[in-house]
Amino acid sequence: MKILHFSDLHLDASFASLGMTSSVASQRRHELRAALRRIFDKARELSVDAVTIGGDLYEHERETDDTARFLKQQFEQLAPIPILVSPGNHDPYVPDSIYHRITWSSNVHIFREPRFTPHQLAPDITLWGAGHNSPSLRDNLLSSFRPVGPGTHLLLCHGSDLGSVPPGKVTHCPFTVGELRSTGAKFALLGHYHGAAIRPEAAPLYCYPGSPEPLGFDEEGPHYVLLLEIEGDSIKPQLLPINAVQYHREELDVSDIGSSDDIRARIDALTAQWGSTLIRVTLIGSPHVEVDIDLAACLSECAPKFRFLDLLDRTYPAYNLEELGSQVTAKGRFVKKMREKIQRASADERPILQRALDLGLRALDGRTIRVL
Amino acid sequence: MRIESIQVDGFGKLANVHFELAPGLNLFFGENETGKSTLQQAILALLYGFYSASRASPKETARLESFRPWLGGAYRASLQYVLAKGERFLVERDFNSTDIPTRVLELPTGRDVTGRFGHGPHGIVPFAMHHLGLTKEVFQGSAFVDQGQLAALGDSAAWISETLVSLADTGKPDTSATRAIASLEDLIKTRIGTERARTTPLAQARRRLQEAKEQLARLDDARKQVAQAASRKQTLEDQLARTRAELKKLDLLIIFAQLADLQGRLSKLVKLEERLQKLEEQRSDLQPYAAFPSHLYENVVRLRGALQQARVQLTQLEERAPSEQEMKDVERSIQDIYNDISDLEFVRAIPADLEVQVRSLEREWRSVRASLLTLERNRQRQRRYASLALVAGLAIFALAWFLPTNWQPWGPLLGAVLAVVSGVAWWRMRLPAASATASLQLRLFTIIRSAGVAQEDPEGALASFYDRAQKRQRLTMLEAELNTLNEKQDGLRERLRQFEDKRKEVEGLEGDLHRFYGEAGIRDTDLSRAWSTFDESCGKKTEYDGVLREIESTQREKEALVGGKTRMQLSAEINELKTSQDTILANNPDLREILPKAATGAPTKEREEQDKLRQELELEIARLDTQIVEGVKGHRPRAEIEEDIARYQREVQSLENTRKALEIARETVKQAAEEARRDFAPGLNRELGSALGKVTENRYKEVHIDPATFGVTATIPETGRLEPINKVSYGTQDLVWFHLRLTLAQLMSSLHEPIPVILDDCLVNLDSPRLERVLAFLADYSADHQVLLFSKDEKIRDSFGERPSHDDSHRMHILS
Repeated sequence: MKILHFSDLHLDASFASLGMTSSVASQRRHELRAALRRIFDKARELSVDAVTIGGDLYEHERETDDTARFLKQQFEQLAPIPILVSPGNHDPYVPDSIYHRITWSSNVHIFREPRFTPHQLAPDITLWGAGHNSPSLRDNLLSSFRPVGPGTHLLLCHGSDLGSVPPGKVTHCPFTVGELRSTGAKFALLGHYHGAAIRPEAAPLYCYPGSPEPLGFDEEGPHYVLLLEIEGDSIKPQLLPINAVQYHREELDVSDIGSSDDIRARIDALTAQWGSTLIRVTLIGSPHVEVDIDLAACLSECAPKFRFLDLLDRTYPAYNLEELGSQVTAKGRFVKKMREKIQRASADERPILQRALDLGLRALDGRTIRVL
Repeated sequence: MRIESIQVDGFGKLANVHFELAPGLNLFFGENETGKSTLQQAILALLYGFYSASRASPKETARLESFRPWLGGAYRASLQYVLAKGERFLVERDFNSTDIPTRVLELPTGRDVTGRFGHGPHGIVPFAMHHLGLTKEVFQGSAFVDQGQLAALGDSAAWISETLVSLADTGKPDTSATRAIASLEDLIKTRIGTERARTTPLAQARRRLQEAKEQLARLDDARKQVAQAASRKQTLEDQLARTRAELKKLDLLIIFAQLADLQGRLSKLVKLEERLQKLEEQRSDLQPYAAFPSHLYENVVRLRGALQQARVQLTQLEERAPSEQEMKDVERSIQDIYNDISDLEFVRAIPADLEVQVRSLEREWRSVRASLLTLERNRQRQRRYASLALVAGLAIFALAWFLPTNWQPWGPLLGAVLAVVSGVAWWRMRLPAASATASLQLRLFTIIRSAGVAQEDPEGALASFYDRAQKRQRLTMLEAELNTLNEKQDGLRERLRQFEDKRKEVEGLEGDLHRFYGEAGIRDTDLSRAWSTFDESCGKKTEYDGVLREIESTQREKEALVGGKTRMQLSAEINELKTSQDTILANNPDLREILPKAATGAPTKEREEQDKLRQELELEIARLDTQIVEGVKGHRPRAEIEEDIARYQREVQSLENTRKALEIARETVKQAAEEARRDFAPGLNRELGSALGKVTENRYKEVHIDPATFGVTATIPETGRLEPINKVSYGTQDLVWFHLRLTLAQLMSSLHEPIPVILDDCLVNLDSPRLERVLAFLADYSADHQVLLFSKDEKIRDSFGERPSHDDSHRMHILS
């Protein structure tokens, strides 16, 4: 028995936080669809016996009719390979969801209830699945669940292993490895965390395949689907790379540059390695005060050389504020006042005050001021 | 600070030169390209180096390279200086590399104190900052006065204020806080926009953001409605499922009831058909009576009743019918009366009531006649009395004329009245009373004579009349008796006629009965037997009709029961229903338990209601389906809108933050400038006031500097009014300018350390008198502050050389 498992594809996701243009974001959404086609091609290629989806296949709030038709079409084309879906917090089984609206082909089984119900994959293999029926299902579904019947029991759900919650990740359907183990299930096919992990390494009990396509700059590196092979009592989970697109973050210290042209040159130097990726370049350091960083011009010139370039400026001119502030001139007094304000300010206010300091000094020096 | 010496091993075109400087005014004289500017830059580089930050900028390095010694060799220099407090230092810099090794030695010990000032890369050793209280930028801006600065004074006296303000603001002569504030203000207005602006970038970004948010709100609203519709649809689908299950149940119950009904009908049909068979047999037996005219029965019965009654009446009439003798007796009596009446026919004319009238008149007549006799006697007596009175009256009248006059006229009048009255009475009693009697008698006899009595004698006439009256009464009596007899005879005749009529009626009735019986085929003359036969036949006919009716009724019942279906058809229907029932039960085994509890009636109405509900639910679900499908059409994908919103939010946020930063910068610069100018102004005022009088030989003692604008005004001695400085002579303006410019340079030091000022040929355009006055001023000024005057002007050199020097405070250095 071979099962291909994936989760967290997030079709129709918004890339609002990545600073992408509409066309790039739209292209990313099409690439997410392309990922699904590749996964199903992989399923056919591997002749798997079933495809399981661990939730967040799409984003309910953002889904479109076209996506609904796309999924219906793809699922139909994969027939007769069974597709078992466990809805997650982003694609809960609610009355207006795609899951509810669409009349699916017979090879599709959706676990609609927030409790484990069985689906017989083979005479001796039972897959127990549970689905989210609201965007915030926080119940522990495993604590009191025990599979019944003979044979091998597998679990499919969208939930959070409390022992490995990624920073900032909201937990849904939380559970502990102990609770998972005490169910007696052979293996759990999970979704929710976007980073791939098979745990515990020594004796695999569950797997987060992660998002098949990375969804942001915090999801660098390769992304996977899981191939689970079951032979008798033997379980063999294997992560297979699947992503076509990569995100990459790069920090460039531009303290020593002589002019803004040096920035362009340094960014250009990244194209050889990262030209095909979606890259975020963050300029850091303290360049000479006379260096005029024209971010817009730099981005305009460099962006075409990358699949997508997000350019952030975190630099601050190399002012000798101590020295400047010691002057009795208005400029010295200005620096002194601003430094006092910055010192008193909260962390939220500080960036604006630092910007004000820079802008004031530029104005007092008669230098170019770039508003954006 | 006073620079004591400068040693240049190699710096630009300068190589191996050494200058020992005077503490006061130093003139560096040389033609063009003799190294005056290079020496100035060397001094600046020795004090502050070439680099300002830890990372070398290409610009700074380029500048470093630009002073690399022309002839090669060491790129190095040193400078010795003494501070106001007497501390003496030697700074040595090697500019050969960008590292610029630098040493600061304390004199006279020669101790390296470089580390005291914080040793950075690229020769960043801020000893000058520590000793002068000035950054390189401020030092350069305030201590260095180039030739253009004084030249500009010729164009506008306001330039003095502007330069001073710029220096006070930024340490540079050409960049003021006012300009910086204007620049920031301009950025706020044009590149970002105020709150009220509509077309500026911030307003446009906000509008785009608002539009995108409204798009999202509309989409959310549409999706909310879709979600509600979907939720409603879910509820309705659940209800529909329940309704369909209920329909299944009702279908089963209806099939169950239909089965029971059909089975009951089949059973009834069997019974009805058996009954029909029996009735057909009865009908066959009674067939002969099928055409019997039983409709005559009523007539026959009625005739028979009438005949029976007529026979009774005939018997009664027969008994009352008169005999022939009785009829003859009555006729004879009538004849006798007729004869008597003929005899009395002559009195018929006398009215029956005439006798009564006559007897009444007779009594009246007799009474009147007796009264008349009495009256006649009385009348005759009274006439006599009247005759006497008449005579007496006439006599009185006649005699009175003869009587004395005193009787006149009363005597004759009395006699006349008496005569008249008595005469009238007498006249009235002239007729006898017998006339009334005669009238009565005449009426009496007139009546009697109308009765045919002709006698004149009243008494006889009366007797005759009374005889005739009696006969008239007799005639009346006979006529009455005749009438009675006639009536009797009529009665007898009537009875006889009635008898005859009844007899004929009886015969008619009997004839009718025979005719009816004949119509029924009964020819028996004996009415009684014929009746028995008729009656019996009628009974059979009635029985036949009853059987027929019952057959029809039974057939109707059968029709109503099965509607023309046969037993086989019914059986087939039953089998079909059983199959349907089994199918439903097979698919819905849970319904099996409701059958034993099922009521006998089919819940058809309930099923109709449920089916109607099902249809309504299906229609509503279809409508909701359309609403769900159409709900978000026409809207952009949410992800795209969110991305727009995020982009616009970033833009708005960035603009708002920038505006906030610009506003903070603007306000803080404004405050800083106000503070700086306010602090500089008193010092300038003080220094200028004391110095200007001295150099103008007390012509201008009252000078005022505006703390906000550094505008300079002076009291004009001729008018005694305070006027702008441009009202005074150019020479005075030069002095004011120099004094303020150099005083401000001193005020720039945060440590109040005297700053050496470096004047780069700035006196070149002055005519001799003005030059002399300025040099005099500089000589005076240099008593407290070292002055390094660089010039190629021989006039200055000459003038400087001619100046008496009481000590070594002034020195000229020749560059070649």
